[in-house]
Amino acid sequence: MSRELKRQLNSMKHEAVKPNAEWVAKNRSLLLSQIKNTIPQKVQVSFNTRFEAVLAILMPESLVSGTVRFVAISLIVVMVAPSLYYGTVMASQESLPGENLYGAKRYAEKIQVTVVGLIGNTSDETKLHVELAKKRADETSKIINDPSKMSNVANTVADLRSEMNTISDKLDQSKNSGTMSAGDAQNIKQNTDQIKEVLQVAKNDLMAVSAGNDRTLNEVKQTKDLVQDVSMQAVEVMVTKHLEGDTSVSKAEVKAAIDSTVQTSVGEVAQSRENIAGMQTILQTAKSDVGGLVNDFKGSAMSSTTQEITNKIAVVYDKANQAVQVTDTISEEAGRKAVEVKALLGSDNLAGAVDRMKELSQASKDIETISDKTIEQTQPLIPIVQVVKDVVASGTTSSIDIVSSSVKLLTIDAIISTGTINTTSLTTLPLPKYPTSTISTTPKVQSSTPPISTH
Amino acid sequence: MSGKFSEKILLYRLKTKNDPESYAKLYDTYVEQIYRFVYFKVSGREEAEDITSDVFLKAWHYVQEGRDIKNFKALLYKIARNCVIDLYRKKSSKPESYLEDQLAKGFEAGDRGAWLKKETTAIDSEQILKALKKLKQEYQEVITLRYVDELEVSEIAEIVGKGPVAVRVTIHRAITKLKTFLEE
Repeated sequence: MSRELKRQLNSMKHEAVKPNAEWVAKNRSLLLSQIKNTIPQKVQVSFNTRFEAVLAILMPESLVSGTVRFVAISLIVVMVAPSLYYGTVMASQESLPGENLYGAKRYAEKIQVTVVGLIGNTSDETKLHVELAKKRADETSKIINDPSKMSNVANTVADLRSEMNTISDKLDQSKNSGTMSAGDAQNIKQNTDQIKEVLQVAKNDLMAVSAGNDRTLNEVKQTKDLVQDVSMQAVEVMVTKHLEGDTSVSKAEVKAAIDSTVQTSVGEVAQSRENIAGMQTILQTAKSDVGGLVNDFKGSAMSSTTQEITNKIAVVYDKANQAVQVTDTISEEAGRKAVEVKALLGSDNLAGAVDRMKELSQASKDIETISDKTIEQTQPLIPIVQVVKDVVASGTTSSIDIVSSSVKLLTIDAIISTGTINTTSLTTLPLPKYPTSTISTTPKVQSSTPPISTH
Repeated sequence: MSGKFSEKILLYRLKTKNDPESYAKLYDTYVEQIYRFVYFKVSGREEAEDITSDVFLKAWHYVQEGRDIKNFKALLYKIARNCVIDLYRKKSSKPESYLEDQLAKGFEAGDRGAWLKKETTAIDSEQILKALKKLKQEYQEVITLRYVDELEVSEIAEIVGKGPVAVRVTIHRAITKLKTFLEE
């Protein structure tokens, strides 16, 4: 029924109503003459009109307006959004932890890591992580002396450690695969050495103002050790790849890298030993000075306090002596290993040289730990001794009372065992120069922040 | 497909070059359909011719104004529909539809009722026209557009200003109603 009905309705089109052919032709002519009179002399058609007209030929009409809108939005996204993005990212490049744009900087870096992870190879990824690690190290060196940003140091160093862990993983993976060349490893070695120097300076700065159990200082110490390990790992990979036939680095370069690492370790061992010896000298002088005071204050209010300080200095001094003995042993051993490395390199035994190099690196870390501990224990005593000496020189009772109460409040046991005192708190008291040329609570490893290039 | 493509080319030339010949070709393509559409709604041939001429002239001006044209055929039907509505308003009375007129005159229209020569078909067509006459304007319109002029539902939707789903529902109801009248 329906089909027949529809057929009959359709047949009306063909048979029922048709315009007169003569009228159609006549109307056509009339229409043409009418519309020709309305056409402007020169037609100005915009690009948009042409664009839409072409689109209308190529796709369904319903899609044209949608497509034009889509293209317009895409153009905005493609042209405007990136300019805004790059504007923000570029402006944020120089930002430091704790600043408003730092989040944008880190976000851009995460995108970078994701993109390189998707389209790059292991070598590209590792290079990017090395660059990011250098940035974190650079930021650390810039904010470490800024009190307003000091609270961000620990997090920044933790981020640096995270980058170093990633680099370490990449180096591990490359040992059993061809994902990294000896040249890549050499690049990592050079950069990690720079990062280590920056962290060394940061550590020295922190030790001058912080107590031994400070979280930031511990972060820096741990990260510095990790960076040193990664540097060793990079040399190891460089040697392995070279021995496997990788020619991106010559044998001479491999030897130079090992030799340089060994020399650095030897230098660090010597520096740590010197620091410990310096602390020993300070303690010896302090012990002698405060020991004299005990006799001066016999029977006075300061008698028990000076005796207590003398005893504690003696304890720390003994520990420093033990540290000197241990470091002497380590130092001698390090010297021997350095000579062995020279010999192994001379006989082209690169694998053997790497083993010795790693042992030396461990020795330098061990001796540095001892040095740090000695400094931590000695450092709080110096200002107290200085104050006592100053009071003796002035001879006023009121000053003696101040010192007495200050020393008791500080509780010498706590100072020595945990190092909870901050030496800067004592600078509010009148502190003349301690009459000992060797006094320096800062280890003399590095005197200035080495430049680190993040580009 | 080729027909649609050539129409797109003509529209492109029309939009970018204001080519009268392209418009003349579009006229050739659609004049018969528009004339028939109008003819069903007005009382006679002259009115249908006048309105058809008017439709193509108005469509030309529409193009000249650079307005968006999604579907040229639907545009023509839409203009034609509005022209017929204007005519109804002018007359301010119930429209005398072609169907009513032809029922009175015995289908002396178009090709002068040549199709009526087929007796059986003529009887059926007469019944259909009577039944169509009984339908309300909305149903008549969608049935002629869909089954006589063979327009797509999307095109009808654009012409009558409704959504495609609403048009489908209207067509279904119109056909059901038409069947009911025919069975009676």
